[in-house]
Amino acid sequence: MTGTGSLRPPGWTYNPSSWSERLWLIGVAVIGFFISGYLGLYQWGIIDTVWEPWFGRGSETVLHSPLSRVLPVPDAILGAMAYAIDAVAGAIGGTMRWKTMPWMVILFGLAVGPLGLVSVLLVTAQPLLLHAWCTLCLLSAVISVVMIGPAMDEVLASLQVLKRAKEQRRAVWAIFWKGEGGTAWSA
Amino acid sequence: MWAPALTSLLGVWLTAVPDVMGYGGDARLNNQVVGVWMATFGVIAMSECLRAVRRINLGLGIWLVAAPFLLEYPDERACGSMVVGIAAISLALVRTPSSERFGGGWTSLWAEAQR
Repeated sequence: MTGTGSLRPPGWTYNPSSWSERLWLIGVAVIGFFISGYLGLYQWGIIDTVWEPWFGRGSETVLHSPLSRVLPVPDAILGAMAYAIDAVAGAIGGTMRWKTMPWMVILFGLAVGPLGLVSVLLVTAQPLLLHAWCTLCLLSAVISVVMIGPAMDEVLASLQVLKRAKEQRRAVWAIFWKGEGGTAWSA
Repeated sequence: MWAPALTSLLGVWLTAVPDVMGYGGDARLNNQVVGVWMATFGVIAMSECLRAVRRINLGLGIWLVAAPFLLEYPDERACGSMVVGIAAISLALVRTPSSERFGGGWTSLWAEAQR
């Protein structure tokens, strides 16, 4: 049985693609999916009321605001889809995926990072434009933000793979899609 | 880890304080927006590989010290803004030795090739 040592990216003290790094992220994304999906069902009118313990009619104001309907689909539905991508893209690939599947790691990073910051942007719009807060929207934003840091280390490892490939004048694009074959190379 | 975590709590406090104290105007909007982002970047900077993000909170802290003069806050709100700002600046300057290594980190991506 090989230790995790051989799975580590060169110059790293741990493996960012190990399941201990990824499983809880997937779990948190699934929770985010259900929260956001619930809010989306309310926005679609499938659910009549929305749970709001603190801010009175805040959730109703936020979830029925014009801003939430800028796109053809309610923003919480889009949020739920983003969480679904987080969970799926977080789950696909083995513990070496930082080098065997860079495109999946980077897709995961884009779904978690930039989309996570969009949810914060929506949170700042609540007091700025609507003078209202929405508890579950805030909880969903917290979940997205908590995921960002722990997801980005894996992205860094994959980008380093591509950078090294470029330095060695190898086919960066092919490695982005197909990963680096062969045996694990140690630090 | 503790410094960015505390900065996050400062951000949450900053976001909540206009409602807790019951005030409006520029101070309210500024605190709520800066507070949300300060909390966000604090949480992100808790991850060792993104510890550099604390520098954004350094900038937000400096803004909080300057904002009362630029936006002409009443005294007690000016005081609060500057106290939180100075606290955020101090916490952003805390350097914690890193226990993990990341193959040169993000800077390795735009560094020239060695050798």
